[in-house]
Amino acid sequence: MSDRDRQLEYSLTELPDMMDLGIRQNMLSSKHKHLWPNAVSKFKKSIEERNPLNSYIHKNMNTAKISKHVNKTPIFNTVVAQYEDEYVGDWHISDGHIQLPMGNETWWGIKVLDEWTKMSSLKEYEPYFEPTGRISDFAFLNTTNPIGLRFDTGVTETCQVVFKEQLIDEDLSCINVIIDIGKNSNVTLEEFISPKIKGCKIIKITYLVRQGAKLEILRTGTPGDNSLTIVDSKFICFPDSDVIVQTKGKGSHYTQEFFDFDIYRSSRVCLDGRYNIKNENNNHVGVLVNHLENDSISNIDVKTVADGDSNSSFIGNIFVDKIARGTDAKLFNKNLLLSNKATAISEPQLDINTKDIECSHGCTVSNIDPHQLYLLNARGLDSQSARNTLKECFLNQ
Amino acid sequence: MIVTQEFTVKVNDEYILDDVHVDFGPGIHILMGPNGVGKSSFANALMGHFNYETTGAVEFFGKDLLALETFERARAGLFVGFQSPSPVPGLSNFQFIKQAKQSNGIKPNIREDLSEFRALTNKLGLGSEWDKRQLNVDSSGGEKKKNELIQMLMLDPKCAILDEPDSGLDVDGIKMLTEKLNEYIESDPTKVLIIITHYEKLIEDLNVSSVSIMKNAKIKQYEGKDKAYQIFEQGFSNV
Repeated sequence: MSDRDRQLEYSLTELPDMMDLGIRQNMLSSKHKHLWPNAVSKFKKSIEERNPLNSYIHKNMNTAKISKHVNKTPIFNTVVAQYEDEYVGDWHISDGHIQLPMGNETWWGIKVLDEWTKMSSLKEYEPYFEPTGRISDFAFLNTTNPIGLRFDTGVTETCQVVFKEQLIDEDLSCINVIIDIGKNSNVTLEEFISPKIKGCKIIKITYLVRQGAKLEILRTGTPGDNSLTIVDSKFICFPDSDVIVQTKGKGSHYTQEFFDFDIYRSSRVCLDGRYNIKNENNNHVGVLVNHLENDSISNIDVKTVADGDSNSSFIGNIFVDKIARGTDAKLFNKNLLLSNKATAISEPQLDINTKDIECSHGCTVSNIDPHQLYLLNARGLDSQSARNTLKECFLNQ
Repeated sequence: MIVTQEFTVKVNDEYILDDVHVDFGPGIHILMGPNGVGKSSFANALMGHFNYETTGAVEFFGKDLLALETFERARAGLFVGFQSPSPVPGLSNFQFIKQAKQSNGIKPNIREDLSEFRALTNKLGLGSEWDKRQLNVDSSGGEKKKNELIQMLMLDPKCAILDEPDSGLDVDGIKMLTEKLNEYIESDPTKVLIIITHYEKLIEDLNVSSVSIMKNAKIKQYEGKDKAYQIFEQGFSNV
């Protein structure tokens, strides 16, 4: 191997000690020094104090898979970006970069926020960044450039957004993206999360759903062998806003998805998660719902079917602030195990600090009901067809 | 036809049937017996329910029934109308029929099948949205019975065993049931229909070939329907 091909190998366990080394551009580089100084300082301190991999919230999430993963960054070579025609009609988001549909440089009603756009106003978003102790904190500090999309007030728009790396390498990819939905706008995002083959990718998305706005997200996670994908979605739901999220995935070598909702007055959140996990795939989901003001509604429904040797977990937490009277919160997680080797762990938590609310939750882990299976067999469906039918019924309910 | 020889059914080491020989040829047969004697178990054991351990031989239209898996028994033409079928949330009544027909090798014709399904639900007094209703979810006893009857009529099996199809049905429902059962059996002279019932009016209105009494893990078969009337008068204690 020539010197030019040499790579530095590191894991996320070692990353906190390497961030100052300047291996590649990140939020500690001089370039970003003045963008979000306070937030950067807080994140750095938090990660130095405790590596997010060791955070209590990940206790059931098999993070050993991530800590064992070796990222490889070239020491001398620069990897050339490869643009793919198949995403030509989509918004294409990768580490530090947003590519507009059809090669456009501007788009009516949507403003791109990045270092190349004048007056991108990225600086004003600093107050929305606080360390969470989750793995996505790495994405905040290690992205090559923070990026964002801002939808104008009152706009109605549907966008296909593809999260896919343009660089074919085995280095860690970190995306920190802000999606700012303007007041009274109505936006649908069809999101496709592509895995980084043989690599680890951490995506931190901060959605600001302004007053009176409606945001609908239809997210599909594509499975990938040997890929590790962490997606952490933070939603700031301003008063009278409406957020609907439908997400589906099949897991991968390691997939972790967090949804963190801050819900203000008279706003509504609905999350439907459907996961179908097979083989030795991992899929871990965390949902944190924070009712911070009065008369808000949340409805969380996450279902997982686990087959083969797969490993899945769910942690859900509803927090109701003492001033959040009139809250209506529902949190449900159901898991169907199709094999004796598959595992599913479900943990609901409630932190209620006021009266005059409605709150319900339920978590189950079960096997296929033999009586249902018998009924379908007795009408001629063979065991595999019957199991597939029952699986689909479970996910589609 | 369905013929059992030395047919024994056990559940948890307890004998439900012991060395039973019965012969159900073409036509309608009534199966009666005291409560809890195992009539439903008999039907489920023939269908291959996982709870039952069976030995002996059951010939089903020339096939060794006990050698077949449950779904193979269904595909061979055996149908059991259950007393209390399991609810399956997320599966619509029509989707279920569609899948069952496909599994039984019946070429699907969605338009014709749906039209036939809706005609039957309409005749049986089920709601106009019955095709979209989830299978056995929040259904009354009578609705479940009608749904089982619809499944039987649409799958058109060689042999049907109906477990108390009259329970939960009102007077009009019973009339409709009788009409449909007669239509079913008259459509093909080789068909076999075994009905578990104690309902005198139903037996009266059907052209019954034999009455079988199940008691003390045995089944005794009598030609015609006279034995049923004797049971209605004297009960099971003298049988």
